[in-house]
Amino acid sequence: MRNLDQKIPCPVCNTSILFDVNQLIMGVQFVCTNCHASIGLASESKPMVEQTMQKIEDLRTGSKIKN
Amino acid sequence: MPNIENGSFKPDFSKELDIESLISAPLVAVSKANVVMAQGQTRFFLEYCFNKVGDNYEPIMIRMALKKAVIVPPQPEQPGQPPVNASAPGVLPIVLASEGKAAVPAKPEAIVGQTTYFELPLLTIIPFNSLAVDKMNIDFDLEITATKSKPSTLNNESNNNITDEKPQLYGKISYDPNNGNANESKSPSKKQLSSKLKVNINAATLPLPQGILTIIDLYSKSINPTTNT
Repeated sequence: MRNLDQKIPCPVCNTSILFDVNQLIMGVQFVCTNCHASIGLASESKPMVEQTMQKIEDLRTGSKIKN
Repeated sequence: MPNIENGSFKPDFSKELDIESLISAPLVAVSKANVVMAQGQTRFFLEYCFNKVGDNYEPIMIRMALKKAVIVPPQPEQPGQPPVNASAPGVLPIVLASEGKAAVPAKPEAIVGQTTYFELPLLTIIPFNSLAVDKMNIDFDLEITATKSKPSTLNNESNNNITDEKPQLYGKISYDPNNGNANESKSPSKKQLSSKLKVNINAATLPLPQGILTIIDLYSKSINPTTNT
């Protein structure tokens, strides 16, 4: 159910940047191999992404989704 | 109707059915299962990745930070107030009453880290794939009990009706009464009927449907900055 090959186009040079959402939440920045720009999750968006990932995990494991 | 006794399903093996129905029934069931999974996925996307505003759905946006090293070009020295020469010993220095313009020293070329913030739909970073049945092995024994033929009318290019006989087979799923579990084999009087029907279904992740991929692609492309004209 999980897509482990996630990529996002670099806003600078459009090269695909591979990333992992869980590491994004932890604050890891992913670097474009072409222009060396790094993208990361802004701190104010971390709770929202973390919450959504938790819901996916709950769906995956079959546990009840917390509101 | 199948009998259900004490919670156990006992199919009626004596009933013969059209073989096409027997073979297509598991395929139809898998197709329906795929539809249910696709509906669940769509519901998840709409519920957690979109906000409903009136009749429309608007994507939930998250903020991303882009850090890039920027080369700052060298800046030449900017002339300002000329320096005042040192006064002779015992002489008070003369200070101009007018406000002077400070000189800007030259700056060499430098590399400065620059952070740009941009917004991205949450949908584009959620690791979600289609879950669907991609392989199904159905293994059951069929016993053909009757063969019949029914008329089949086809139209050819010259609109002449050609009537031929289409074969139709009837059968039933074979069962082996000795194929029960160990307890049942010890007590033949309570022997349960068990069919040889075996269904193996492999569920695997498949690429997302083309429609969702297109939406994600459009959203992803929208983060590329454009030049104001």
